[in-house]
Amino acid sequence: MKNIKYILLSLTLLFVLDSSAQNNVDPSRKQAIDSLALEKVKDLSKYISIIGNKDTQFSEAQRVMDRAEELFAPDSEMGVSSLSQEEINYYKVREYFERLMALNYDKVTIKWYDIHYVSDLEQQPDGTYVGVITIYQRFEGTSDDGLNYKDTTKKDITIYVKKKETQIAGRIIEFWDVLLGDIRVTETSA
Amino acid sequence: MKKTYSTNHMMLILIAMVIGFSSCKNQKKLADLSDPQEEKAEMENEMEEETPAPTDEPEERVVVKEPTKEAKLNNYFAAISKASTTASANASIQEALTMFSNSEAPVLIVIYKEGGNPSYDEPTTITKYLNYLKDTKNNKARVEEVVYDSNGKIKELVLRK
Repeated sequence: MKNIKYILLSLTLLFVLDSSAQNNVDPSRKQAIDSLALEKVKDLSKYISIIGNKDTQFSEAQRVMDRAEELFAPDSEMGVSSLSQEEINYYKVREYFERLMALNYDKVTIKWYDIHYVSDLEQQPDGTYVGVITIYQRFEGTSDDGLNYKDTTKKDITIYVKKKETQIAGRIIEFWDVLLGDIRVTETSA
Repeated sequence: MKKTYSTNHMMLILIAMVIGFSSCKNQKKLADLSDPQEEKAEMENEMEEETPAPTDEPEERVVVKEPTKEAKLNNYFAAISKASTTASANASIQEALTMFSNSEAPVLIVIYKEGGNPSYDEPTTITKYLNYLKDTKNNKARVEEVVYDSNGKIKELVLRK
């Protein structure tokens, strides 16, 4: 009876140690994952700038929209604010990109800066890492007829990172899948 | 009177000798013109005399190094990410794609590697990766590993950030 107890205890310990080893990521590897997620947000800022740019050809803008959309988890939303109204409107990312492309200005420049983590990636019980990255967006729209609008918005982006597997040329490749979630407006100023 | 005769005789002999020498020279010239083979041989002999004798020192060879396929790819990546116009970036993309077995060739990007356990970004394709370089100008990744098909085209690419 005592032996069975020891065997059960050992098996439980082994199981706990094994699952803990699977979930633990060493600090250097974790840092690489943090950087990867930050890079995805920087990529999005470039895509948004291209989509908004009036010099971008329609076909190029469509292709870039597809790539930008791939960065997001399904059904993610983007917040849009304005100095003229308090209300913040939320759109599905694809709709946001299309509205951005159709803005009624002759020149649009969008720049993201001061991109940083406000909440580090933390592992959730299901194994997904979740964090929040903040960005500042400077928007400038000008028209030949004198229409001019500028604002700066602070936005929080939820980040999801999960380890996944795929098959490439017959072999299994494990990779870190980074997906962006909702982008919420937290401040708007001139 | 006898002295004058002797002087005249000497003059005649001299004239005869000059004419004879000149005639010999003309005969040689004529012979030369009529035999081009001999002239050629003579020229060759002259050239041989002018050419310095070969030395024992080995000839210095200038070797022009062809860039490796990996270096060529890195050059394309740089050209695409630094292109000043979309058109020139697209031209470089089309050129780079000719190195691949197909435009959907998989591209793996290593974000961290310790021992034999690399961490990858989400796998992509070569077309998407080249367009990524054009859009974001983010050319941090370098060629780590290349897998070729039987035609010498790239069928799989591993990059390292």
